[in-house]
Amino acid sequence: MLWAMAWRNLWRNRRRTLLTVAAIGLGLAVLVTMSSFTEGMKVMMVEQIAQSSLGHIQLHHPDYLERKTTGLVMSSASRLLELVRDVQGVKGASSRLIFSGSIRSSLSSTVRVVRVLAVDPAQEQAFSALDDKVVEGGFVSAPPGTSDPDAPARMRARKGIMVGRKLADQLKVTLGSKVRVDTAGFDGAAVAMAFYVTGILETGTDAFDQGFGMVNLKDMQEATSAGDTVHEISVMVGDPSRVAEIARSISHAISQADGATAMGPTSVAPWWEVLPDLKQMLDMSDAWMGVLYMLMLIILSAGILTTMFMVVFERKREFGVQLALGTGPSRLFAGLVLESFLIATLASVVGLLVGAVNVAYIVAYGLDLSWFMEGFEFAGMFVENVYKGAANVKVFAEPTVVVFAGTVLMALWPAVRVARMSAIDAMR
Amino acid sequence: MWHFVRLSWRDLWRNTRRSLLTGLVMTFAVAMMILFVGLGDGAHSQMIRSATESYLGQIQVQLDGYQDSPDLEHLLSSGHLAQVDAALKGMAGVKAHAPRLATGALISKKVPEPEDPDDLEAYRRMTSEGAFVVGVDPKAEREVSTLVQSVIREGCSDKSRTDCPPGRFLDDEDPYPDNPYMGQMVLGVGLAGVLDVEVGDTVALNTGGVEGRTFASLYRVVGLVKTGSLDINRTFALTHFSKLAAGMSVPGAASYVVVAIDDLDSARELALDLQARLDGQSPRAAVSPFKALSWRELSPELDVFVKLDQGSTMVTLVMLVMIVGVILANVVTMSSMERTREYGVRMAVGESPRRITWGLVTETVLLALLSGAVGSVLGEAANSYYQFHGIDFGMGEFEMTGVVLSTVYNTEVTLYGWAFSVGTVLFFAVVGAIYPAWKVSRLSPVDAIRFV
Repeated sequence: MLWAMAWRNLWRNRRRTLLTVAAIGLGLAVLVTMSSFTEGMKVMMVEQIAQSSLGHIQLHHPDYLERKTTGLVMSSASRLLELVRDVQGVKGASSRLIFSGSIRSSLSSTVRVVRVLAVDPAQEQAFSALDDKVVEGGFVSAPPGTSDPDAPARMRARKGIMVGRKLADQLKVTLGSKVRVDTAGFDGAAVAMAFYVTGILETGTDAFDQGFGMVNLKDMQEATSAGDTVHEISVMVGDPSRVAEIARSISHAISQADGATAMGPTSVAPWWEVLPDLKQMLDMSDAWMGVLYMLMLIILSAGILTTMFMVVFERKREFGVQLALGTGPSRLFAGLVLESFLIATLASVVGLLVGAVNVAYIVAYGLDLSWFMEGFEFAGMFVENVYKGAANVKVFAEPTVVVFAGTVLMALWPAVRVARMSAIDAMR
Repeated sequence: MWHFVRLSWRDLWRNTRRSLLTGLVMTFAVAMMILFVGLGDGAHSQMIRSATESYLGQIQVQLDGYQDSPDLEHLLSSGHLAQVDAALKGMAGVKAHAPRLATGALISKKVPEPEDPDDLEAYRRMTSEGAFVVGVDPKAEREVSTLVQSVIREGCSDKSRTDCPPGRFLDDEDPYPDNPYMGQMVLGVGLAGVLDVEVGDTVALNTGGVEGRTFASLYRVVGLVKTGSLDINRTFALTHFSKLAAGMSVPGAASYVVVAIDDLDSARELALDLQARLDGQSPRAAVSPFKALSWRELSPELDVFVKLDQGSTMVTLVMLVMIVGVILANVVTMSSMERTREYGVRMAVGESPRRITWGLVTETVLLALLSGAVGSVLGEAANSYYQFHGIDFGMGEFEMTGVVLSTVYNTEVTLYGWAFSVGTVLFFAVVGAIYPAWKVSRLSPVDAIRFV
């Protein structure tokens, strides 16, 4: 009975109700869109960084992340890699040796700092997006002549290196040039190694373009007599929301494997432990969005409150008549709350529909910001002009709950005021 | 005209509750938008400030070509440095400047070989690491960057130790002026950790000098720096400018001169200004050998990061404007429609629809202006408060692509932020008034009076 009356009351002044529903609904739609946008940015950042070489999960010697000493390797690398690959949910994995040192060439007097990753090209190509960023030569390929059995031994022993564009320019090297890398060997002593440039990489990100080189893992394992050891196994998973769970499965698989003790200690870390800064950055952007969200909600609530006050006080006379005819104040109050409930429901439907259309659009096409960022022709790995949205339950549910609750809450105050009125005052 | 405005003003206060409510929404909208724009701008300049102050500098003077080929052939000679000094002397907006010499190097801890050749653990403690060695003039450096202040009190990287020797920055003067193979060094805290080095230890440096010669020398570690930038912490090694230059056999030469300026936003203009002054010093040369670059050119990556940040702030601002628009237009429309009956009566006693329409618009504008004034006071008050106190997200500091970000957000008070907020509110208030005004102008008095 009360419901039916509230519903009818709502439509006695159609224009007013529609305006109110439209305003609250559109407000909700904007919040949903914004939510999807920020969620999308987060997913984009994590995915692009994961694909750049980090991966979602990394395996190291337990002390490696903290100390980064060359001697801290994991033995039985190929067995470990096999184990990791067999874990359900793992899409790809790549094992690496990592060397930090200085690099120079005979063509320039400059000495640069470099981080050299030794990788299995096939594994790494399937794994990271760096493959698409090679602008000259090949991806960690061997120098010409190395496979020629008639070539002199010193030719066949040459090792290839892929370097970033900026580094190549600074060292004034081109394909075929020789570079020298000074780094620490596994015994801690400084060693010098020679490589021939066989590939040049351009990503738009200084971390790769300036201080980065990639060489063949086999070459390095042979040259340093490292044998079957690596510093890092990087893992990509199919579903980024299951990273923590898959990391646990990997740990479990390793500890349960035959000869687990022989393999030595290994720590399995999800990306947020490998790069706590990135995690913090994302948390921060969450907090920042929280503040913006609050500002929007304050404005929206003020709007809803005002609307509700108007909706209610416009009908003061009507309530006076009702009170005079014997309707109890509590019944009047309940009726108004029910009305606000219905308005909130209608507004949520409108907001979700409009929001869904917006989200569908920004998920499919993204928001192109190139119009705003003039001269933003930067084909970088981590930088996209088009921001894509994300769609999940959270994106829709959070704003809806907040707006729904806000509408009903904001209607309580005017409803209480009405219930307290005396019939005579109200009718005047 | 004035009479008309006064009438509208009185009309506004005939129904105080309604006007107050509508005004409240407008006030809130103005205040929130001002705070939002202030926060966005504040975060933005903070990002640039911390990124440039920790090391990069707002402007650098280099030899033309150094940016692409940072080699020994593109160093500034002592003659060049004197010219740069002269050009900077008395330049408005410039705070200080300092020369630096930078090179990549391999750095190793100097330890005796382990006695037992099978002691693998001992070998594992030894290591070498690529390091970015920067020669600085400690006195001048203090004025241009926060490197000197970033020295930590403990002289070792292991936080749990209590017996750390105390650390300090490089002495103002090189204590070994006559020994080219011995110097003082300050290491990034992360680099010290990897090398397992503490204050008092000696490290060996290996880098290239002129004519492809390899130059090796020893340095005594006197302190560790910890900045918000992981890059600096993990790869930086600082020593005396003169010592490094002598070791690399390029005495007196510098890679670039860092220039600290007062106003971040004027970096580009000041760089151009400085370039002109430098060009003017060598009028006979066809091309000046110098290049003055602002941080945007020095670090395109930082530039992109800043633009990205601006982009997402812009998107959120557009969304905020949309919310404000929808809400305001609705509130204004509703409060005007409520008065249809009143308009009917006024028309019936002879007031022209045109006059009523204009009255409605005038009332709305008056209310928006009044709310705008109150909202501005509230918004700017909040803004100025947070400008000094910051909104603390309680997460400390962290770094992204070399940009140190603090989680305390300070706002910035700007004229355009204010104008934009008040303008938006005014615009949507008028938009909200147009529909009812149009509707009223077409009503017959009889219909209007009947209107519920």
